[in-house]
Amino acid sequence: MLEPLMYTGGVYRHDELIELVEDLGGHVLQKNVMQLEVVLLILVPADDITVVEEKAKELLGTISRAPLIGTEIAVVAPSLAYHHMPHPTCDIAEYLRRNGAKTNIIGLARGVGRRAAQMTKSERGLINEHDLALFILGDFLSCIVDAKYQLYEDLEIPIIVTGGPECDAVPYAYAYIGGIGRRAKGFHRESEFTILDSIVEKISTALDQRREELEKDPLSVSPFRLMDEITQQIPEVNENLSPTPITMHLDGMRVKLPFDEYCERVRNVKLTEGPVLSDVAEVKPSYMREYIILKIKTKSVAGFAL
Amino acid sequence: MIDSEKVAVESPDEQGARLIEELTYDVLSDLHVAQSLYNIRIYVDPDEPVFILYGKLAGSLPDVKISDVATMTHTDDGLKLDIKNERYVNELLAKLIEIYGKANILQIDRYTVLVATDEDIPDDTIYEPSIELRRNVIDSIRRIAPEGYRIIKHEIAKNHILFIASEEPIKEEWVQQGYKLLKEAGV
Repeated sequence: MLEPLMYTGGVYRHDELIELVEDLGGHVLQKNVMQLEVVLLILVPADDITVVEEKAKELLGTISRAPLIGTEIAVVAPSLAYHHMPHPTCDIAEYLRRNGAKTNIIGLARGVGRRAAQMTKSERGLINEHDLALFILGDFLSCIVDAKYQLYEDLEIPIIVTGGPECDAVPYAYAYIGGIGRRAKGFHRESEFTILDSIVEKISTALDQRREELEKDPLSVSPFRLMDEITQQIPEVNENLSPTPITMHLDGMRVKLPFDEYCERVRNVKLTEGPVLSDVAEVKPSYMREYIILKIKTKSVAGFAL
Repeated sequence: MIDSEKVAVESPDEQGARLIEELTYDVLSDLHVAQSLYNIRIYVDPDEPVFILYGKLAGSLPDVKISDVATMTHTDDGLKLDIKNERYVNELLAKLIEIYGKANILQIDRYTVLVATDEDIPDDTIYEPSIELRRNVIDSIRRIAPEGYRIIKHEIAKNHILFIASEEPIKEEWVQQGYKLLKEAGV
């Protein structure tokens, strides 16, 4: 069992922590260097957390639990106009990032209004590539309950909806969180941070449920192992300037390399046990730019598990 | 400080009305028009769907003319302008370029501009605070109104503004309701 952690500390000697994590059989998912500070998103075997904590203490850094590490979350707003940006959409996305998630803000082309609100095929495809989608809706209960569900009723991933009014549940959504709605100011008060924490909590629960579903028919190979193999065998992936050249999902990953040029090389990545990557995962073009999406096959589909 | 009685929101959805009221305060203070738009009354019904806003406009500062910004003296090199108020230099230069062309204007230093002419410059208006204020007021109202309401009918007079927006074509009864708000406010 791997535990998701975030390390914040100085650049000096941080490579010692990376080596320690790799020696323990963990993974470094993201490394952000900001001048003299470094933030690492790491996965560490649960039994060895104390070792990592001691090392962090020695390096005068801090370790905190970041439950959303290894997931990609779509934060969907009806549009990218000032009615939704920068508050609350960016504030919420930033808070999720601080909890380890990789977030993408998506503004719909025709998401506004009630009668005209709709989602295009490419938007639906793009959102379905994520682990979970968070919809940021407005102030009126009748809109949220009676009309806006048309935007997300066809999506295949868990949906969490936020809005202004208080309400127990909305159709087609895993959970609804009230008290946000349209805002023209940031989140400053303690009560507002409680709402943000409840969003993180609801997302964690939804993702845990998804993980449990995956465990019933486990993946044929661990996504983190596949990530390490790709990084080693296709080193060009590290030349991508994105903070996460390989973005992890619960059941796969997004490899930020052009599909046409690299799909064959990705399909032929060799695993030590014998099979190649295309035996254990589907390689598809992503709706995001020209990237590659990998969906790992389950044990029942692949016929074996490594 | 904003007077709490300045905004009154009416809606069949009580929670929504409270949230829109809060949003209105925030948007107005964000765009610095809280002192310029007052006695605001809003009617919003998402089921119709309609958004009606009425507000009183405060008077703005007087127009800024060239003589308010610079003093003119005739010299051998041409007309010399000594800038008194640096805040409006951009507007002043734009006006001078419009009248005389770029080739005939020389800004020697921060506070001095030479114009190649022997005649006096007409004392034109270079900046109208009332236009800036209206722009900000309209911007703030569009931020308050629901985004999907793109069909708009509005009326701006010297001291009030009436704004009706909807997703559907504007109905006559909504316009009448807007005028009722105006009448109640004594306009």
